[in-house]
Formats: sequence, structure tokens, C-alpha cells
Amino acid sequence: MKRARGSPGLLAIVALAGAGTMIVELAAVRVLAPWFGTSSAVWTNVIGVVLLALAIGYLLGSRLAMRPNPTRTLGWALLTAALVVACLPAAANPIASLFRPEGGTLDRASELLMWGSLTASLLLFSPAAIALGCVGPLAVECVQQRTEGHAGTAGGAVLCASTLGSLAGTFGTTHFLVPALGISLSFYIAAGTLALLGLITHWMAGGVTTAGGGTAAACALFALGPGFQPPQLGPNTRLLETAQSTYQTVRVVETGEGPTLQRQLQVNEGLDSFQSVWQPSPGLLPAGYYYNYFCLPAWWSAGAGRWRVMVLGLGAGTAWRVLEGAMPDDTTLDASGVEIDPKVVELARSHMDLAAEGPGRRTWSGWDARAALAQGAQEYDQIILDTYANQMEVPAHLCSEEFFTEVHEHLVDGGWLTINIGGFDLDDPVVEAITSTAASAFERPALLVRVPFSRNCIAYLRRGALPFTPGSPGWTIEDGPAASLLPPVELDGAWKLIRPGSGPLLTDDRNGIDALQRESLSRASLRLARLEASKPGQPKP
Amino acid sequence: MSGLASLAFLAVAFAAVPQEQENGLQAAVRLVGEERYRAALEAARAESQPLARAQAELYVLHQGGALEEALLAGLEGLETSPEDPWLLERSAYLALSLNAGSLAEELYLNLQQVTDEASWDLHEPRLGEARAIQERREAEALALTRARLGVIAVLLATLVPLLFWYRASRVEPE
Repeated sequence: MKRARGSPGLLAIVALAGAGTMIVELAAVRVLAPWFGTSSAVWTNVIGVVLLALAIGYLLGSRLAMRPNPTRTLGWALLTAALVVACLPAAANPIASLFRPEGGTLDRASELLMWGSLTASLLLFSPAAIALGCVGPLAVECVQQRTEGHAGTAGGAVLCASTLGSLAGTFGTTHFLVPALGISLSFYIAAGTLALLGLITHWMAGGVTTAGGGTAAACALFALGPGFQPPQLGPNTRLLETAQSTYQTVRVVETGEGPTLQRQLQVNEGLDSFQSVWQPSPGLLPAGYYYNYFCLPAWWSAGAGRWRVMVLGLGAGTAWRVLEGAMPDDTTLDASGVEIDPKVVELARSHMDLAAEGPGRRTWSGWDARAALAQGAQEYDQIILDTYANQMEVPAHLCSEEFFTEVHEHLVDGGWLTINIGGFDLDDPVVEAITSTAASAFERPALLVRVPFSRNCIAYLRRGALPFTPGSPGWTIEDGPAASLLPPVELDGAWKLIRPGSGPLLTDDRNGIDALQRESLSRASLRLARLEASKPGQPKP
Repeated sequence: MSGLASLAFLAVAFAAVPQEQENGLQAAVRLVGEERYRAALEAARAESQPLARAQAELYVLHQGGALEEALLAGLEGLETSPEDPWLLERSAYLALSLNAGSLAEELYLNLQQVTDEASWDLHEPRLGEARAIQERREAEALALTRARLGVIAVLLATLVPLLFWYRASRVEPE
């Protein structure tokens, strides 16, 4: 066995190709996000497609490796991958739009998001992954021919280089490439690197051919094209700022003028939802916004003096802003908030009046809600849980019995937990499971209220006490902005008491929230279908 | 009796009988105005006349933000009073709010039959909105079919030729 010239160079090429594979895979989810979100179903589809394509690529590469001059074939695999990756930013919009028509709503989305993201992933990312899959076996063949050693030795060296490259690509894409340079440039950098590697490999194989040079030039031409084009904004919607963060695509949009002026912070949006909302003056939002119902505990506990609130899932600070303008006169707001995405906090301070750090305002930016809560020993009068990811997903670790027990420990006696839960009615499986799990942790029933004119429910729980219910002493709020919120939810069917153990228990170990969310969406779809099938009586001709 | 005498008689007679009690809808409107939604719904459900009961129920539930229940109350009322423009208009609007496009379209078309042209002009754009929802639904259904077929087509187009090529390029052991 000998150490042939060019072998370290080949391994470096393999490592860079491994990095390219991970750039494609991780940026792929960002590319699809404006149409399909970044739910676990979308991640699963993208990873599944890339793995299948890589498997096909390995098989293809294993046969191509038997041809004469595998080094040149390796160069072609790299150039092909470069060309396909260079096309991706421009191809994303026309392909994804085929499977996600504009103006969709969440209640009809579940199947479309699943199948649409799968097909779009297959069409967009499998060609590049197949080409990159060929790199491994071809490189093993090249290394083995050069070293004249064992196949296992060559294979091990190639796998090691490829995996190390993938590792660098993984961290580089998430923490640097996409947040700092954006989606298009990330793909162009990957394509440029692969094209360069392809040309170097051709040179190693005896010289760059015209076809090889032409392919590399075509990659450069694609990079001069329109790049990644997310879906267009709706009519009368103005884009104020957009950014790529470590977690998601974030944007602030504005609608209306004068008294109807409103700004929304949206993440990965392709549907009719938003993460935070802002209006010029603090206080209650128009009817239909669940944030209004966060202010009730401060009124129910009137005379508290200082009201210490922790908002888990602060977003752009809508909950703070509603509370700021809707607190009882004798109560001062002392607000803390946790937001996992620092970019959200940055945009909120620029466009949505999120208060800066100061007395009575503390932001845990870049923190996970559970980690931040565990970090501090402070107790609160109210903890607001409003943690949503990917438009409609409650993270599993933020709806488990263990988490709610931790929340319970951070409340003063009689303190309130208020949970926003997206659901289509009080019997929604997600709503039921989260509320009954929280009730189990608090060892007391929870009051569940359907927010009028919305598809949100709010659960109220108290440490060491029962929440008030319609008609019970303490329920009525005599005056102030919160008073008008109660009468509509007193209607039959607009509230119910959820007892501990009355629904499925979600734990850190066994948490079926993903399946429940899918069930919720499909039930909503069925309800709508049933409603549509209603046949009203016909007027006489 | 002259006309003037008749009118005087009617006025005296009307004053002599007790004021007519408010019906379910009137009571519901009043109670909702007083933010007494539960009482309003009870008053609505206590109304004996089916049309007024449906109107009152729909009104209270709609004002209380229970859109689906309000629509169901409206549809129930339309079973017995399919030509009531008030119920038709509000039920159609609720169906539109709930994205039930085909139901909204049907209700608006029924409304068109029972209203005069001037009133219909106000509602016509809503019919357009209902049809737009329908079109979006159809586009979504088409996209879903396209996506499902797309998965099968891409897999077949990739795997079948690969299988043939792989078998054709097999190297026999020497």
C-alpha cells in the first residue's frame, strides 16, 4: 500500500462535497418554509427525500466507479451537483407554488403541507442529492486506485472526510450562512464551491474539458438570475423589514392606515397566521385577538399593586403591550418575557415598540422558555404561555406535565397560568390534552375559554386555588376595559372546566402533541366539509 | 263612521290595551346591548315563533363570537323560512366568515331570489368572495392531487430507469 499523490486533495474535495450536501439539506427547509412552514412533517419530508436521493446516488456512484477514469466521473458528479444547486433559488417559487395555491387557511392545510412539501422536496432537492451521493463511491474508487490499498481503508478515509465536511456544513449553514448571507447566496456559495471542486477534479483527471468549463460557467449564469423569490404579499400589505434568523424567516408587515394601522410579525408565513400584532396605542386589540384575554387575571386579582408577569413566547411583545394598556388603575406592570429568536426581538424593537431593558421590563432574548424559567428563582403573579413554532405547533417540552409542574413552582400562591392554545373548539384534541395535562400538574381544574371570533382557546389555572367560572363569586369584573371581555364567553359552549386526568396526559417521556395537532387539523377540515355539505331550504321559485 | 272618527277610535283602543310584549329577537337585541349574553340566548330560545327564534339565536351567537353555532342556528331557521332575507343574509355572511364557500354561495344565490335589485347590489360583491373561496378550494384540491401524483411520478421516473440501468451494468464475476 502506498500514499499516492492527490489522495489528501481528493479527501478535501470529499469533505467540501459533504459540506455542500448539508447546506442543501438545511437550507432546503428554509426554501420551502414560506409555502409549507418548517413543521416536523416538512423536516421529515426533506430529510427523507435527501436520504433516499443519497442512497440512489451511492448506488449510481458504485456503478459509475467501474468505468475507466473515475476521477473524471467524480468531477462530472460535482459539476452536475453544482449546476442543480445553482438553479434551486430560482426554481423554488415556480415549483413550490404548484403545490401551495395562494390564500390557503390552516384548517385546510394539513394534507397539502404534507404532500406538497414532499413533492416539492423531491423535485427540487433530489437531483442535487443524487449527484452528491455519487461522490462517495467515486472518491473511494479514486483513493483506492491511488493508494493501491484495501477498499475498507479507502472507504473509511472517505467516510471520515465526508462526515467531517457535513459537520462543518451543518454548523456553518445554521449559524452563519443562512442568517448572515440569506438563502440565495448560501446556495450560490455551495454551487460555486462544488463547481470549483468539479473543475479541480477534472484537472486532476487530465485536464478541464470544454463541457466541464461550460457547466461551471452555467452555474455562474444562474447565480446572476433572480434568486430566491418568496410568495408575494397580499394586497394592501406593506413589507417593513424581513430577515433570516438562526431559526426562521421573519418579517414585519403593515396594513391599514390611521386608526386601522396594524403591524404583524410573521414567521415562515404562507398561511393566514402571524406571531405578533401591533397597533399604535397599547391596550386591548380589536375583538378576535386572544391576547386580550391575558389581562383578565390582573383584574380578577384586583388590588395586587405590582403585577409580576412572565410571558413565555414573547414574540414581538404583543402580550406586554395589551397588558400595558389594560391593567387596573392601582396595579403596576412588572413584565418579563422570553423569546427564543433574538432577531424577533430586534425587529420588534425597531417596528413594534417592544420596550427596551429597564425597570419593570426584562427580556430573555435567545432563550428557550423552559430553560429561562428554570434559570431564575423568581415567582410571578401570572405566567403567560404563548409558545408556538411553525405557525401551529406547540413544542412538546412546553406542554408536558413536568414543564407545567415547573411553571407551578414559579407562581405565587393564587398566581395564574394563562395558556394560549390554537384549536377550533373546546373539544379540540390539542386543546383538551394541553389543558388537562396542565390541570394534572396543578392538581386543580382549569377554566377553558373559547376566544370569541377566533380559533384560539385560553386556559386559566391557579396555584392553590380554583379559577373563577361564569356565575361564581369573583368572576364578574365591574368596570374597566376587561369587563366587556367576559359576557360573550359566558355563553353555553364558550367555556368549560377541565379536570385533571380528563384528557391524555402529555409527559416529557411520552408526548403525542404532534399527532394531536395533525388530528386537530384534520378534524377542522372535516367540520368545514360537513358545514359546506349543509343544504339550506330553497326559496320557492 | 268617518275616517277621522275611525282613527280616533283606533288610537283610544290601542291606548286601552297593554303594550305588546317584545318578541325573542327584540329581547335578544336589548339584552346583548346590555352585554347580558346568557340572558339574551335564553330569551331567544324561549321564543315560540320559529323564525323569530332562529333570528334571535343567530343574532346572540354571532354577537358573542360563536360563528359556527350562529350559522347552524341560521340554517335551522332557513329550514322553515327559506325565504327570509334577514336570515339568508346573515347566514351567508357567517358562512363566508367561516370559509364555507359553497354554502355561502348557495345562500347568497337564494338571497338574490328574494331581494329586490337595489338591495342585492349591496350583497353581490360577497357572492364574488364566496366564489373566490370556492376557487381556492378547487385549486387546493387540484394541488393536492398534483402533489400526490407528483410523488408517484418522480419516484417511478427515478427508480425504474435506475433499476434497469443497474441490472444492465452488472458485472459478472470472472
